[in-house]
Amino acid sequence: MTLPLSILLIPLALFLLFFVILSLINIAHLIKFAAFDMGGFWACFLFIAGSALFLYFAWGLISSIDWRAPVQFSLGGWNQIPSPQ
Amino acid sequence: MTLAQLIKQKLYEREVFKLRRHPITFLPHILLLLVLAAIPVGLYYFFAANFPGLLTGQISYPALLILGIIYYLAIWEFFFTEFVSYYLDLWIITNDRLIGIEQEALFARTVAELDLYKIQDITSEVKGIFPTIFNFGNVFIQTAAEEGRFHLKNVPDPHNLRRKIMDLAEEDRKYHVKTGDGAI
Repeated sequence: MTLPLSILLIPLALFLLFFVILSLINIAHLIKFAAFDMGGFWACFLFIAGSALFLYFAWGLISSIDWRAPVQFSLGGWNQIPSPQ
Repeated sequence: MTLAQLIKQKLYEREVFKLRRHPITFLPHILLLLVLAAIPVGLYYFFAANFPGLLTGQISYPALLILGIIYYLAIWEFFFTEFVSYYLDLWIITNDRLIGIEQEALFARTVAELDLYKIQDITSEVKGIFPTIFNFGNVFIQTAAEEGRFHLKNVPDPHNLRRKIMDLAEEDRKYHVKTGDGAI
């Protein structure tokens, strides 16, 4: 069975969705219940800045891969891209 | 939301203390984050030395990269959730009440309060090497109510806090006797 390598990005996309939802819940908690001091604000800022920085570097690594390359899923040669016919 | 809104502050009420757990109690979470963040680095060198093909494979490299990204985002999110839980655990002591707000989990929040004049007994404890060095511990507040004890966990300077709460409770008791308010 041959599929594009980009199929590996599906779990990442699903996890990113989960990550964003959890982050928004946490940030909402901090904004709602800790707005009376600056600690909550700085925690949100550091978390968002850290996440953005990490995703920026991750994007740099991800974009260097050719995700359109076909992948042959079989028991033998699972770690190879099929050569063009 | 302001603090006054959060606790529905009364007109004559003023905030005396706002307490969180001692910052040193959050240190294990920071150390755990650092250890968890170091694991993939160790695995990278292990694979590079023993299975170099995995790090250059046309499928294994992207797969490991995605796994690594998910792993780091997961531990970052876990750390942030722990911080929110630490930061939103709060005890507010006013000249009238003690309000305990605990963020037990992402979707579990408990708010409890007691009137200072109802306090019967306060116990403070500092147990262990780190609590003794950094001067933090627990304060247990006993009231006449059936709910039992109010527990201030890992708060800084618990013995001094106990004395101050006792003084505030005594003042509040005098106030309630004078105004004839409350069942004393």
